[in-house]
Amino acid sequence: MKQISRAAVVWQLLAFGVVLLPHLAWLPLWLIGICLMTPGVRLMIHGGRWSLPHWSVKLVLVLAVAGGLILTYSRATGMRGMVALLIGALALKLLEIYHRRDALVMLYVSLFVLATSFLFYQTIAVALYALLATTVIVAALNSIQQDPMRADLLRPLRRALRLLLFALPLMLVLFLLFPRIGPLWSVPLDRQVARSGLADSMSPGDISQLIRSGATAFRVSFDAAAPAPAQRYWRSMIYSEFDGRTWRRARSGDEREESGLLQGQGGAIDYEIIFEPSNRNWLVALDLPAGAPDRMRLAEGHTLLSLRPVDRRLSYRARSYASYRLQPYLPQRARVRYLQLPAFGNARSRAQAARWWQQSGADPQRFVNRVLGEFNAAFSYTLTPARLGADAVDQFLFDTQQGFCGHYAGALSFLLRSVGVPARVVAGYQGGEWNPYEQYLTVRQYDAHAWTEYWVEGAGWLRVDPTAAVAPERVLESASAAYADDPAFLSDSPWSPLRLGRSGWLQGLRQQLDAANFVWHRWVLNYQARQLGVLSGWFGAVSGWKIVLALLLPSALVLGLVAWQQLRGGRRRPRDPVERALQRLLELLAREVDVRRPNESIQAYAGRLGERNPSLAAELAAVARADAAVRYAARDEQRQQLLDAIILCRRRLRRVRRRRGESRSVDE
Amino acid sequence: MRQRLNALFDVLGMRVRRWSLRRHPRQRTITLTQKRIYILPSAAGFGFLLLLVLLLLLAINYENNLVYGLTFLLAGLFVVSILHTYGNLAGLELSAVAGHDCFCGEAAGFALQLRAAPGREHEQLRLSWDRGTPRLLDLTDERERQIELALPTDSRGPLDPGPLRLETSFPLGFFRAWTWIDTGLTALVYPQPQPCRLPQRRAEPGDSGTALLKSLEHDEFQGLARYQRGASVRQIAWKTYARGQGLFTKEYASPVAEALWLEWDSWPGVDTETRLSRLCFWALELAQGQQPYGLRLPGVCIEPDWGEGHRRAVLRALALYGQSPATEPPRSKMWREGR
Repeated sequence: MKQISRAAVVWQLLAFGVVLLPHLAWLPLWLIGICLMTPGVRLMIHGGRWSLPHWSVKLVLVLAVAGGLILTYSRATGMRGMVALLIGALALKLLEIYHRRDALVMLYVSLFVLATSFLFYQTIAVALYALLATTVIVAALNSIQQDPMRADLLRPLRRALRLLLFALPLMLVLFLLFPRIGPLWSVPLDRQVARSGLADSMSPGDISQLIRSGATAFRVSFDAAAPAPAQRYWRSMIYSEFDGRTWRRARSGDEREESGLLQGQGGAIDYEIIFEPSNRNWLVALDLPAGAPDRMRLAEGHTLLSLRPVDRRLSYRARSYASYRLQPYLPQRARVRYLQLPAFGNARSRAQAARWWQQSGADPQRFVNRVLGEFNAAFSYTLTPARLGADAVDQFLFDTQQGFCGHYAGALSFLLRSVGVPARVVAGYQGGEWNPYEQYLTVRQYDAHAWTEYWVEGAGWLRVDPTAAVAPERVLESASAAYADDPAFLSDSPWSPLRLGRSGWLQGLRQQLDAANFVWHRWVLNYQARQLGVLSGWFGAVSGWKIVLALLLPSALVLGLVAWQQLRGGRRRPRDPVERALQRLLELLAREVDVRRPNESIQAYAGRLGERNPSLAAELAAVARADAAVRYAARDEQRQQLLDAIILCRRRLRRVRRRRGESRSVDE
Repeated sequence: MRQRLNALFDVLGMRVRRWSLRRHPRQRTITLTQKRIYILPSAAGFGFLLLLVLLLLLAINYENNLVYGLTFLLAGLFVVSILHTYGNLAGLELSAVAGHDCFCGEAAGFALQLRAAPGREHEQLRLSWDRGTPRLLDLTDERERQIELALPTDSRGPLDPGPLRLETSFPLGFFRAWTWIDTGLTALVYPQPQPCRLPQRRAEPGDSGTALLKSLEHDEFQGLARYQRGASVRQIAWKTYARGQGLFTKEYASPVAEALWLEWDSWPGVDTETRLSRLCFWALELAQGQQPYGLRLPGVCIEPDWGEGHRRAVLRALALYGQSPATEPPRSKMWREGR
């Protein structure tokens, strides 16, 4: 068993430290305690202050860690428990690393633990950090191969940098070309993703919770031009049930009704959405999606539903139509559903609706316009409305007359249903911030929105946004512009850069950072979605041999470079012309006559060769003499003599060789 | 099973080794090139490959492109380390300097000289014979180093250490690069000296064995002789000089006068090796004294003489007794043909 050097022990501790750091956020406190303790103990041993722990101490530690892990993770599935186990094992192993093999196993496990940190975090910063951590681990790997007597801390680092510098281009090639396949078996991801985004019900005051958050909900890039701000309605779910106070999503969406109901008109809009994890099933699509992408389905009201909760960043392509006809003929069952209202309550509103309905000649469109006119005239938009009691719609319409999108959409839907027009509330997002650096739209939680759809015979479902009648700037500009002065806006993140307003270099910087994140998500984290496109863009039709060629050529190039870097030098000639001439002569003699023995002086060498080859003796002796003269008095005169002697000797050598060649050919 | 597998690998290894050695004629100084450097993953290397497979599974199952990235970075590292390990041997110049004779049971030393390739460093080079402890050395700060690589001996006679194995797994231990070099070095193993009493010798005509033995213990004063120029100052009889009797030198019995013979037949009834060991012991004892000594073995006779050259000749005769004389391996030709 080979022992490792003291420098290598330090590198081991460093490697453990860099691997531990990204996991500190979620590891249980007791394990963190142990992870901090064992390197400390090891350092004390390293410094010679403590001696190695007794085996009974180690046994107690192992049992304690095992017990703690069982208690903490007995019910957990997925990687968390395993990563904690590996980290605990690493921490304990630190106490007894003396041999190369122990250190090797430890560093391999460290690399694996480092990789698992990507299951928890995938930001650019973490990726860069992992590069640094890999450098440290590779340096540690090199340090255990070092001479145990050598205690040079920086040497392994230099070697690691040289190795990794050339491994990087190989990584790039492999990353681009290695075929991505789907998961081999399903793995649980127990990263605790907080549920975020829209809820499946809407009581007065609910959506205003989202207004407090500046977190990104999703990002969209369009294949062609982006639709106008007023057209950016991101549809997420339908609230179709109303109990007098709360609008909620139907428990069992009747999806079969929903296929083949859409007639798109005009050009389709193709776009890609990168949806942040929400731990819920619903997704978003631009009004109105034509179909469901893979691993999703169309739910009630042509909304997109993921088959499993979105626990990781999800990227999908979708196609929508800005003008469309949805469900021109409503079946009886659906009609009943979208007319459903509680039997009692909100009597004043029902009476008022009946009056307006009569005044507008029982025409849904005119009725809607009438209501919007009322909203526009007397109502005001606020994120902090007064609390509403039992007959919420009545209170809102006749008493408070202030609220935000949810209030208006709910009230309008109620009024429509009460006069017999099928109606529903659509929840989703509206607007988004355009990023000019990478040409995409960032939609944040505070862009959450609700609007109304009502059904007209022959025309299908029509979108109407009552908020636009009350506060047109909310729809035409952005939520951040409309809400900027409202105290509730972004109240969860008081230091958010989003508060900085819409201009200024800080804002530009924020957008550039967001653009970098967007590119990162699109091209790195979600590369599998674009690999085929990228490769066919480069090589035309992608075929096996092209991939192999693309893999081999750059790799060969890089490896050639490494080989050159590793093996260059070979023979470096001295700068001095006389020295160079002498070296050439010696090489020639070694090749043609005999090799100079180690520790043989030029004089002895010349003498030996001269004895064996009398024809060369005089010239060789002259060279040796002149060389000695130069060594003792290197004046120009002596140098010239040496050079002359060398030239003579070479000439002689050439003649001898030619004569030998002739004599041999005569023999033959 | 494992044993049989190991045996199989041994046989394969020997085959490759023989083949490799056949390809490269014996030379005093060689520069390592790709023609004679072999490289294969080590156990640690296969362990690393296993790690790569696990990482790849992690990447595939979690569809995590960053894990893919790390996996590919490490795969790149694996490939690049091939060249680094190879480069740690390539260009190295190794010269076989000399083999040093020894007594049986000691370790014979073989002097080797290593010179780093110009402008490069070599670390953790491992040199070994088939037997004996390997030597690890670095060529970093010093460009050139001469080392003595020991080989334990267990029998008398000419010693061929076999091919030299030079290997390294620097810098990451994933790969092992190695080469076999036929250095052509040999050493002579003398019999192991075995202390014993000098036996009573049977009288022989013209031989005064007992007197000789006595004179071995201490020189005897014989008388004075008139001083002659050039005599040692220490030999001058100062007392006589002080008495004013003139300058004389003291004369001692010189055992040189009689030849001292180390005889094969001194110990009847003892087997050959023991006999040689005892002769060896006495040869060394006598070499420390002033007396000339000769050696008589069946078929070998070395006339009495003294000095280092004589001592070596005697030891050599003892080492080679009963063995075919060490065939000196042919050195590289003085003037290579074909030019």
